[in-house]
Amino acid sequence: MPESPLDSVLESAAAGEPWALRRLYDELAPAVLGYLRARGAHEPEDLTSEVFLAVFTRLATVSGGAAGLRTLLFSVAHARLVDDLRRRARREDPVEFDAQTDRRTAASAEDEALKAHSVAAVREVIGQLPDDQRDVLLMRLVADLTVEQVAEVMGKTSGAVKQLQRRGLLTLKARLSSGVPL
Amino acid sequence: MTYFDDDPDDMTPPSAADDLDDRRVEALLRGTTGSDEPRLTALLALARSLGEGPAPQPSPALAALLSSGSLTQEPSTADPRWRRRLATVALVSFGSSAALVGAAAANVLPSAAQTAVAEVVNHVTPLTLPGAHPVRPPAPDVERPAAPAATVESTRPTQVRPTEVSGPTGQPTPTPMRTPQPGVTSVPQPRHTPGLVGRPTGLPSQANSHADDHRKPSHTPAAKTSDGHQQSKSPGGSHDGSKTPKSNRPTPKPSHTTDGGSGTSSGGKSNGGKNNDGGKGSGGSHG
Repeated sequence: MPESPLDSVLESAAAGEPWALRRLYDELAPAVLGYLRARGAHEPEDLTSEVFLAVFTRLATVSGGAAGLRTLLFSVAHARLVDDLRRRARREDPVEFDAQTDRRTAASAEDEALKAHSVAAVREVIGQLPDDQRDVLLMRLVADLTVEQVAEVMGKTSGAVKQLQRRGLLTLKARLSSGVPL
Repeated sequence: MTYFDDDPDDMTPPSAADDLDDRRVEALLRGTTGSDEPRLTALLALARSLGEGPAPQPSPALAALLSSGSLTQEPSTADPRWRRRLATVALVSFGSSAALVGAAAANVLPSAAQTAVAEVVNHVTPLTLPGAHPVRPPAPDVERPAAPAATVESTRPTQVRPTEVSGPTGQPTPTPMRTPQPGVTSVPQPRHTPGLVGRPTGLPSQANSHADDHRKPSHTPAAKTSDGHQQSKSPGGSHDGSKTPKSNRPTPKPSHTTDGGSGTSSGGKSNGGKNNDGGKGSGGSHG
C-alpha cells in the first residue's frame, strides 16, 4: 500500500503537534460528518467532535498509518451512531432533525441548500435499504473505505461485505428504474 | 420455475444488464463506470459528495485539544449527580456526628457509648463532656511491694469517688452503704457477688459498688488472700489493728471519710496504703 500523505501528519499528531491534529481534523471530519448525517444522527456536528475527541486521545495506539486511523475513526463513529440511534429510539425526540433548517454549518446558503437536498435525497433512497446494506454502501461511498476496512469496522468478513454492497446496489438500481425520484 | 413467484426485493431476475460482478460494483462505487445507469450513477455521486466540504466547527473541548495538543486531555466528566451524592453523604455524616455529640453532652447515651464519645470529644476538642474516664496522673508515692497474688482488682485504677467528697459545709456526704453502724462496723460482711471483683470501674456507680466491696471481705480465696495481705502490710493497717478491739465504739464519721476522700487527693500515707491495696486498702483504712 502506498504511503499516504497523512502518514507523516499522523506521526506529528501522535506527538501532540497542534497543526497536525488540525490537519487531520480538516481532512477527515467532512467524511465523518457526512456519514453521520446520511445515517440520520441527531446532532451530527456534536457527534463528530465526540468521535475526534475519542480518537485523538488514542492516537498513540493507532497502527496502520492513515488507513488505520481512518478505520479507527469510522469504527468509533459507527459505535457512537448506534448508541445515538438507540438512545433516540428509547425516548421520543421532540423535533426531528431537518437538514434544511440546520444552520450550524459554516457553508454558504447555496451550498447549504444543495447539501440539504443531497442529504435528503440520499436518505430517502438509501434509507430504505436494510441496515447492513445501507451501512456498507455509505462507508464505501461517503467514508471512502475499502472492503477490508468496512469489514473491520462492521466486524464482518470481506466476502460478506462484498455480498452486502452488491445486493444494495441491485436494490437501488431496481428502485430507481421503477421511477423513484432523486 | 419462474422468477415472477419471488419477491423482487429479495431476488432480482438474472439478466445480462442487471448482473453486477465485482468489477462493475467497484466501478460504480468509485465512480469510474460508464453512463449505462445514469440514475444510479447520479445517486452514488450524490452520496459520495456527502463526505466532501468543509470540516464542521469543533466543539469547545475539541477546539481546546486542537489548539493545545494535549492528547491526554479528556472532556469534563464531572457528573453533577456525584457532586450531589457527595454533598448528601457529607451532610448526613455531619448531622449524625453533631447529634451524637449533642446526646453525649446531654448525657443521655448508654454508658459505654457515653464514655467512648466523651473520651473522644475530650481528647479531640477543648470541650469537656461528662462520662469520660478521668485522666489521672500516676501516683508518685506508690509503695507497692511485690504483690503475692495478682488479682484483677490490683490492676484497677483508683478513682475519685464523688460520694466521698466532703459536702459544701465541710462535712462528709454519707452514703447509705458507708454509714457505720454501731457494733456492725467491724464485722465483715460476706460478699455474695463475686462477679463484681473483676468488673471494670468506669462509672461512678460502679466505683461505689467497689468501694462497698472493699469494705466487705470476699469469700473468694484470692480476695481473702488480698485482704489478709493488705491488713498485715498496709502502712495504714494500724487503723484496723487499733480499731478492732474497739469494735463496740462507733468510729467517728469525719475520720472515716477523711481517710477515703482526702487520702486519694493528698497523696499522704493513707493514700499510699490505699494505692498499695489497689483499691482494697480502703477497706483497711476504713476499718
